[in-house]
Amino acid sequence: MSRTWLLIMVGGLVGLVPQPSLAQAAASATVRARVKPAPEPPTPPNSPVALPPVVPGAGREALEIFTLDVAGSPLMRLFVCPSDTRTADESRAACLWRVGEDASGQRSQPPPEPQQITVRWADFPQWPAFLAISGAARAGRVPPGHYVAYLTIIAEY
Amino acid sequence: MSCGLAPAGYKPAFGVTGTRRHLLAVGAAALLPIAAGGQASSTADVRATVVSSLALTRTGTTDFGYFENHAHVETISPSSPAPGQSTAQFIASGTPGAFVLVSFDATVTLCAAAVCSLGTMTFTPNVASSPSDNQAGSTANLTSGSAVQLSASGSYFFWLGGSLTVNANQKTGAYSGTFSMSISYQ
Repeated sequence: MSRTWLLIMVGGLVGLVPQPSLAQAAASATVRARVKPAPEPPTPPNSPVALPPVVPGAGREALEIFTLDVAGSPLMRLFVCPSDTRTADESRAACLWRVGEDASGQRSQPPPEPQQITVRWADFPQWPAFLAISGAARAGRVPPGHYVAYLTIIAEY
Repeated sequence: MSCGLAPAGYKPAFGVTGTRRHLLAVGAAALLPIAAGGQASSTADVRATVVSSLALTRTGTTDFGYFENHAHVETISPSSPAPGQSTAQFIASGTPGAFVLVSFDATVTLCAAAVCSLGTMTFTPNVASSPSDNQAGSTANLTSGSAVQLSASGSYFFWLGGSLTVNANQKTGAYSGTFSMSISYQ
């Protein structure tokens, strides 16, 4: 094949390659957002606290890092109940609690560090609209102090 | 076949013979004037508009800034973003007075730390447009697929605002996504 024919064929192939149209153009931009935690509601000692509403959903839902500040309260028990059935009755399965008690229910000393509390909520087909948290003290057991509990509430159904 | 170019018995010096010589003769015959018995003619207008190439450039970023993770809708006005917010600007340039079609994404998914499995939010754009570089005087709610007319200087300006759906207990952190716009001559 002569050099001339080769050049003609190459020229034809180049002509077939799609070229970007000059009649259109495109550009893109980045969209950014930064989400920060909503301010936590005030939590006076020994009083019920309403949590933000929890949206029910299928499977496993978690509400993380809710800080409960119990300044000055010798907290021994923490109750987490649906707001419409709020009670201090420990026998209610609906109310779950945690304080750092040992197996005998006795507590030797106050928690030296903020405590991570995990509450599993398997008894409800869906989350209640609100939860109520309250603390209960046992006189003489725990010295007054400043305690912070970090709640992780998990619903499983 | 005789057309006067290759007389019978002619042996070309450059070695074209046989079929190849006949093809040359036919091609040459097509160049000769034809004495037709009747003639007719007609004309057709062929029109073309020469346009400048289109360009679309972007400057800046649409940034919502910081907001809290309770359920709500966060918005950026494309013509007047609030303090702490910013809007990306797109500039179209081409033939002055030409109409161009503008297309852009209906929604954009923003992902937490560029990892969508960690959390997402849906961004719905609101594009403001103006033939002049005047954001405060621009008109919001441009519809994708609509046409705009380039200015006398061959430009058109767009600003990207929009809304962001924030879920209750939305995972905290930085989110980002990519919005795309394209233009073409109508």
